[in-house]
Parts: sequence; structure tokens; C-alpha cells
Amino acid sequence: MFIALLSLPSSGQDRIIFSDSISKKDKLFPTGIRVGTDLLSIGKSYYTDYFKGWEINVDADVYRRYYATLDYGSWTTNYKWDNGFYASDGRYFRVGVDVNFLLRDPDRNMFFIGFRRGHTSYTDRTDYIFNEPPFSNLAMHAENVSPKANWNELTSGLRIKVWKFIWIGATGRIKFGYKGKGQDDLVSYDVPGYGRTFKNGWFGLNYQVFFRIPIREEKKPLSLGLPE
Amino acid sequence: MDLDTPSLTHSLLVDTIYVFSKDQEIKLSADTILTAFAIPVDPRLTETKFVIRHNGLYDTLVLGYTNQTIVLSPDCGSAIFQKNLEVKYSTFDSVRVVTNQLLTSAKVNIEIRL
Repeated sequence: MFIALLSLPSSGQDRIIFSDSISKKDKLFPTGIRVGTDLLSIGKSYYTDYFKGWEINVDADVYRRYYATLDYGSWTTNYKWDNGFYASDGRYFRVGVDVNFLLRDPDRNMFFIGFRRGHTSYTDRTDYIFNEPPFSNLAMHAENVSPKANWNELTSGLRIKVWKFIWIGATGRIKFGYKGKGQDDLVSYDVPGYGRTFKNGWFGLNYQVFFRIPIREEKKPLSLGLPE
Repeated sequence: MDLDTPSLTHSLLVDTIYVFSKDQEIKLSADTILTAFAIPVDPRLTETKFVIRHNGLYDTLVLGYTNQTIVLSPDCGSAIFQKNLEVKYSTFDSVRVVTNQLLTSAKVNIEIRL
């Protein structure tokens, strides 16, 4: 509830209370939802032969400077070498909160710091030739049927309005706290959404384009316009 | 599996080691006096049987283990290592697991006493 308190000593009353109609419910209800995609994933899919993937990013201003975020993506890798390959395939999501430090920017540009929790379910496998005396040319296969993994991310980035409903943005992320499950036969090498697992502390970058869908008009505080 | 020289060891005339792998019987000829020797486990199985002929006698050793594959890098490819090594069966007087992971850094995995 927005409340303006104003002292008017010349009037008969000590105080006049103005209130507009922004309710608590309105404050917790976003003014719009931004839906975007990661251009780097698309570019990496096009220009490399070991990665195919895409990612959808959504955020909404749920309360003042706080934005709820959701990322959902697909990640497929296929690393080949002379006598074998490793492949992983799965979907992942991240949920979290961004804190916007440009709260009063009229174009809803953002500089934010945030936190994400990531989760993935995937499959992975490797086939290779084992050559170690006295064994030679053994065709080896190892796979994980339904492994899962969780991790955390600290994020920071920008959202810049470029035209009407279009924003571009970049998000940098530091991934940490990786925990994998169901990797009994094969230690996963490249986990969807996280990346290579031998690094506990992994950097990620998205370059995104967003389309903003307005949901409601943001109500501004009343302007009193009193004579000086 | 490597056996190194512990502080109190006796030399052993190892003649032949038979390894019963998944699809073949591998015969490793030693015919020399050893205090330590290396025997290979089959990476396709979770246990491997060995028959060791020494000083004219035959002893049997069955080792159980878990296989785990890791990808070293796209340049180096995949490798397999064994962990949770245990003695499933033995006709030796005493067999003790010293290190239960088969790694090149583990010098002694099993100590055999006669």
C-alpha cells in the first residue's frame, strides 16, 4: 500500500493521507515476463561438431527489484577420438532470483546479481577400445542409465532495451557445488547444463535476446502537484 | 595388480600364472624368483580367477572388484580402473588387501603370506 503523508499547516487538519490503488497483490504480481534464448548455444551448435543445444530464459519482476528466473535447456555432446567416443544427452533447468541494481531505470534495463540452483537428468555413455597387455582390442562400453546432477550458480549480467519489446542481455555464471548421482559405471565427463565435471568451479556465459510480454500497467505513485 | 616388496618378505619361485578371463585362459610365464609380481584383472568382468604355480605347487586366488570408466580428455580418451578390490577366494595361507583401488600409484594391492 502506497501511502503519502503530507503536512499542511495552513489547513484545519494536521495531516492529509493520500493513497493510490497499488495493492500488495499488485506488488507481488509481475508487470511483465521476459522470454529469451541463448544465442551462444545456437552458435555453438552450428559451429562445433561436438555440441548441440538450446536454452530458453524467462524472468519476471515479482517484487520490486527482485526477479524470478527460470532457464530450461537441451544439451547434447559427442566427443570423438581415435578409438572411441563419449556422448551425453539431457535436459536441464535452473531456477533462481536476480536482484536488479537499476531499479528506477525507465527502460527496465538491468544490472543484476543473482543465484541459481541447477538440476539435470540425462544419459551418457562411452565406447572405446581397451589395449593393455595381456588384453588387446577389447571393445569396451560403459553407460549411466539415469544419472542426475545438481549444482549452484552465482550470476551477474545486463539486460538492455534495444527496441520496444526487445532486450538483449549477457549473463555470466560461476558454477559450483556440483553433485552427481547414478554414476556407478561411468564418471560423467560433460553434464548437461553444468559442463565438464572435473572442474568444481566452472564458468559459463550466455548472450541472450529477450522479448518482453507486458502483463499489467505499472502504477506510479501519485503526484500531488501542490502549489509552492 | 602389483605386489611390491614389504618389509618382511620371502622370495618365491613363481613358475606360471594362469589368468581366467571372460573368453580366454591367459598363461603368463614367470619362471623366476620374485618377491612381488603383477597380475592383470579382466576389465569386462567383476571378478577374475588366477592360478599361480610356485615352487611346484598350485594356489588359486579369486579377486572381486568394481569397474569404473572415466574420460580423461577428448585427446586421451577413456580409461577404466578398478575399486572395491576384495578377495573372493584363496588357497593361500593368508591374503590381505592393502589398497583396494587398482591404480598405478598404489604400489601394493594385496599381500600374500605363505
